[in-house]
Amino acid sequence: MRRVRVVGVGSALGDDAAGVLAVRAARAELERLGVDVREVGAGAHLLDLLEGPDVVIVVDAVWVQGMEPGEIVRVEAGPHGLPAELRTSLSSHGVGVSEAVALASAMPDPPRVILLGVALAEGRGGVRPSARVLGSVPELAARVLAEAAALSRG
Amino acid sequence: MTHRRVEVPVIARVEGEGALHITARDHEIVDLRLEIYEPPRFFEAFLRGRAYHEVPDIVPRICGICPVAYQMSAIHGFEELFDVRVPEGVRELRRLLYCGEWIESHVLHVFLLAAPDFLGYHSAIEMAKDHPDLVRTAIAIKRVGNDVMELIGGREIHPVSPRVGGFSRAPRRRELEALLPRLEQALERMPGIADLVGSLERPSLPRRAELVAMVHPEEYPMNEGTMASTEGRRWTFAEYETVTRELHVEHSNALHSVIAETGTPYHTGPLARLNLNADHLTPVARECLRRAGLSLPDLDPFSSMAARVVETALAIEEAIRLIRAYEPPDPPMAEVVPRAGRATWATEAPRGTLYHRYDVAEDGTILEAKIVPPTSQNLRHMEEDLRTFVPGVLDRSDEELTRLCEMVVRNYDPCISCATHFLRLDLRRL
Repeated sequence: MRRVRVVGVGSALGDDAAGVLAVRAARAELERLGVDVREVGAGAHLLDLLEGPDVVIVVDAVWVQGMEPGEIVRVEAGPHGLPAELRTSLSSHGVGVSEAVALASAMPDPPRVILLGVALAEGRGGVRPSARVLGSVPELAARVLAEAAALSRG
Repeated sequence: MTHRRVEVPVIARVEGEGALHITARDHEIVDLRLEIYEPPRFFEAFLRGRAYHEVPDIVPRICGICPVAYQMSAIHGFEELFDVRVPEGVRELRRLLYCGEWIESHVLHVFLLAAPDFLGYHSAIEMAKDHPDLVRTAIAIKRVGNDVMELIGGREIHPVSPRVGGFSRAPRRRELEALLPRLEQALERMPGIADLVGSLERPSLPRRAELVAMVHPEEYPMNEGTMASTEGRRWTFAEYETVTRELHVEHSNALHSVIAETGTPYHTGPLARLNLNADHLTPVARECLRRAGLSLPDLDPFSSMAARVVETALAIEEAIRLIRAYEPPDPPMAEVVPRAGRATWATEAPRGTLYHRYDVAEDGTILEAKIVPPTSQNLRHMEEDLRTFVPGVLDRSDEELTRLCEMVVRNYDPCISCATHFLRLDLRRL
């Protein structure tokens, strides 16, 4: 059985909360599958969570040119980390999700890293996530669960 | 006559956004500005009208790397003003929480932000391919710092348990003891890391400087003490705004700080703390000081990375000591009754002294807030260092010059988001 870890990334506020909310929604089911479930507020804190498991599913709000808010994206990290269009760092000290994944990918025997992201509305702040992003959280949670279930069986 | 203009439009591997503009003629600097264009964040303004007990939840949002520092400066200030006597054990638990933040922040800076410069890489990602064991060690040590913070604070960033009066929940003894084996392993690795840092070739920048840090009669300062400088100044937290002064400069959204009496810049941070508090180093930290090749006094800003290694060892040793002696505070929190007046306090954030002042109404409402982060106190000194350093390296290529200027800035581990809140280089050779 593969060791699978799911990490929700983001703050508790605004559209950025989408990844964390989806992981919370799926947490009980994931834990039943034996998946290690974590939440981190910033990419710098993801660094140490990419060591150990065979697969890490990172769940985060993303901003990609041309994507509609609420749209779900799935990408898998290659030898250089995440694709360039996802490398826009909005994070502390220049160490974001993409930098953390690129660092892990540069090391010997890196884990498989899958990013499940939901596109956020540009410049969207505030306390509550926007309706379109919030509306995608159940589907994102279901995708995380389905992915983790298939991987832990495999 | 050679004219040259160098622009570093975005300074990398620092927190927040800034740029460096240098205009040079032959070997002279005509103009040098560290422009901080990260927008102002208005935290002081939106603290007005809030209750004192909301402040420990608002101010840590200023920084994801040093939230504990923001909480501690505020909490201690209110407790002094309200004459709160915290339960026994709270003081030790706060120091342990701060140790977690020092470990995490220093390791991130030493290995992932600064080390690539000294080992000749553009980034930690490039460095990781050739030095995976070094990166793994860093990540393991950083993780244990995070875990200390998460266990005490309730989560690893923006802790929720620290309150004015104590903690909303104190961890159980066995929860903390579970961290001891990893802290002990981390400590064992520190002398070897000091050897590595000591072996690195580093530029040097001998210059006169006034370094400022807290001092404490019995311990290496984190939460408590008074202010001191390497020029022999001494002051209390209540005197902070008369001894130092903040200035607005046109090219920076972050204020600059100077010593009010002389108008000269000063800087805070690990090197300042080390120079002013060497008597309180713990045994492994002292060994790391020697093995990293530091001999005090040392005012060279390029010694800052080694100072961070020494302080990481100290924070790990302190964490081990505090956990072994830990008795959970019971109750974890004292009763707090607000009163009107002025709260002033400073604590030692990983990157330097963080000063807070609050004017408080009788019912505990914040009337006025002032926050002076370490990076804004250090900005003028960064500019001074660059003015001293750049003429000696103007013969280098633009790429090499940019790298060297960024190293000068990174010595301070600046957090521009906190200061406004860095670096683009714009170099013009006229």
